[in-house]
Amino acid sequence: MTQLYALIIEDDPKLGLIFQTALQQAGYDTDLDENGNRYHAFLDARQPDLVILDLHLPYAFGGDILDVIRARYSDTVIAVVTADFIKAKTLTGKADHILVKPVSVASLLRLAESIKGQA
Amino acid sequence: MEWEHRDRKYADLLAYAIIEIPIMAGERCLGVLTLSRSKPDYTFTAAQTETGILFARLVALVLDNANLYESAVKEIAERERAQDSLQYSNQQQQVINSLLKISFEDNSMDEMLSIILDEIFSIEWMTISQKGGVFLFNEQTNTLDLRVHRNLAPALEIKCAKLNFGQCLCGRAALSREIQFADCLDERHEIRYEGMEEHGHYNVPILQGGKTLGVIVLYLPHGYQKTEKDIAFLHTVADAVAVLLRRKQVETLLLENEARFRQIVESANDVIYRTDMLGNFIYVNPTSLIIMGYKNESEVLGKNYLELAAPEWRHKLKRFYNRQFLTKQSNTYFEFPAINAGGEAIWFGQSVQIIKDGDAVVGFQAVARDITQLKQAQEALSLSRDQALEASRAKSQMLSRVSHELRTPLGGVLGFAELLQYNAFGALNKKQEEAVDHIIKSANYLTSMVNDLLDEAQIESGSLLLDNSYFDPAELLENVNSSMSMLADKKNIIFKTEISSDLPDELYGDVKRLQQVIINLAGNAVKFTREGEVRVAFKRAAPTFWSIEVRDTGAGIPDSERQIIFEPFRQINNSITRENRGSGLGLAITKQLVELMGGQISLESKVGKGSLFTITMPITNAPGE
Repeated sequence: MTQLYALIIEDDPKLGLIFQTALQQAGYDTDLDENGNRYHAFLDARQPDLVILDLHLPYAFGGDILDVIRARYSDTVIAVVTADFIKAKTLTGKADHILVKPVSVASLLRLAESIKGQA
Repeated sequence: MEWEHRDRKYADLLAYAIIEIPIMAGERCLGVLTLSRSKPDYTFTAAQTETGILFARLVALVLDNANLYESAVKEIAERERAQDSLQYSNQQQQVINSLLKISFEDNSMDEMLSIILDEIFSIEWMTISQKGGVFLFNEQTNTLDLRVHRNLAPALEIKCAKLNFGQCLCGRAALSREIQFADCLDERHEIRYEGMEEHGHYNVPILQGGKTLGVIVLYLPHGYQKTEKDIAFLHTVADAVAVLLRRKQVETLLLENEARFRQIVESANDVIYRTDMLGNFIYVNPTSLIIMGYKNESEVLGKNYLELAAPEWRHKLKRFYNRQFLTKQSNTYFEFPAINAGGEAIWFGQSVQIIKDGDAVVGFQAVARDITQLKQAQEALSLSRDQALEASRAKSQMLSRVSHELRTPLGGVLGFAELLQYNAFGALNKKQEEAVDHIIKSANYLTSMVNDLLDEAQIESGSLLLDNSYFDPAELLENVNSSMSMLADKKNIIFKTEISSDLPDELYGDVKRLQQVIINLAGNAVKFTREGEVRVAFKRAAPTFWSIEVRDTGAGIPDSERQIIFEPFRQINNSITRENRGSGLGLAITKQLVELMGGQISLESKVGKGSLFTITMPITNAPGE
């Protein structure tokens, strides 16, 4: 079984740390892009199995990043994390999962496990 | 004379000599002078014959004169008769002319009657006294009322003020509808007074159609005999008077009506005016002047209505009323500001009717009301409504932002606590585990509060969107059951669910919101029930409706509280205790969500017995199905 890889794009460092820790607990390799300006490099380096994507980022809009990832890796599972429920709705059909903040570690682990099962 | 038989004629006479001399007047033979002798043997001498001829000439002269005289006398008589009847018809014509002229004059009824009476008295050929009067029929009292008179005795003036039909000569004339004539005070003359002088009467009914309009009474000298001429004339006069009366009555009625309408228009609190076809004022009522601040109507008459309108409204007004003019729309309503004499704006709401002459529009008639205060109130209201809406929007935005800003740190609290719980940072001792547990519970509670606030904010701002799809009601009820039964177990309360078999297998709606609503109601029921049970039932309420019932055996809700419990931020007693703490939004959100989904919520409750909340939802299909 290959090592699973999760890319986390989240500007809040605490949430970033939580997501990373939780996914590492679930056995994932993780990378964190805190500003939305480094994800290209990460994507170039490795296809993620899971992307945790915050919509509000200092340098980019999450929706645009979603399009970029989706265009590049059609089978990557993308979970959008947001407090903006209405904006999240507009992404229905593009994102695989929409997690409304506060995102519980339990739900994140369930998602991680479900991908592990498919892989 | 038959000359051939003269022999026989004379043969009877004992005549011995005859001399016959023609009596000649010019060429005409007027007769024959016959001289005869009764003694035999006497002849006429030449001198005697001469004398005879002379005599015949004299006779001719005399006879001729006599003829002349007779014919002269005849001619004079004829001429007199002609003159007489000419005078009669002249006077009659004059009287009728005068009466007709009366109708063109602007007199009151009594003034008119007075003139009529004088006209009748002016007739020279009728031997009437300058005494008499005119009665008119009074419909209200059903009597003949003496309206005008000339030279009547004061006693009569009172006694004859009101007569019944059939009473005295005048009443008889009215009743019989025929002229009553009397040459003396006979038994028909019922009304008398002491010292009354002998006299006669013509009592002439004034008739029109089948009605008696009145009676003209004229005094005659005692012993006066009626003539056909009088009667004929009086009939003519009565007919003329009847026409005048009728005309006067119609005119009076018209004038009264006009006066009445004028009074209404002039005393109306509304602005009433008329314009010609071009919109130039031709009439304005006093209220118009007062409201517009003008002293005299001459300041307004002739002006165009647009001149009085606020300049920035003239274009709109012109377009509006041009349209009415062209489409001949009979009545329109329009609101606009006018500028009064002092330069202030006054708002009018005005109804305008077109005035037509046949098919052509000849002008406009308007009734307008000063609605300045109304407009100001409306503006104030609209302003405060805008402000309220703005405030509500701002509140919703703020709530939305606050909830958003709370979510991120909540994520931190919850996330780290959960990581601790999963021993992500090393194993925890018993006390640490309990502490983490409390942190997670508190964070979850805080999350639900934030969710409530966001829901309320979204509902209030109208930005909450439903996510409708087909769902299985049994699955929904099972989800409710699994989230509620643990809670109920903890409180030792029975939690039961039931579903009617006639409910469709699939329903259309926002299943997440429905679940939220049911859990809200069921959660409250469990929270406020100390013992007994909570039941949630799905039923088919009607062919096109299904219902959700949430029944408990809790404390119940007093009547006085039933209205307010559905208001945001309200709880019974408004008290915050350990038991009932919460955002106070649950029921308000529930009600609003139910209504947003097209349903209704109702409540039956008895204090001490429990409550039953019933949500009724329409059974619908997805749009387009």
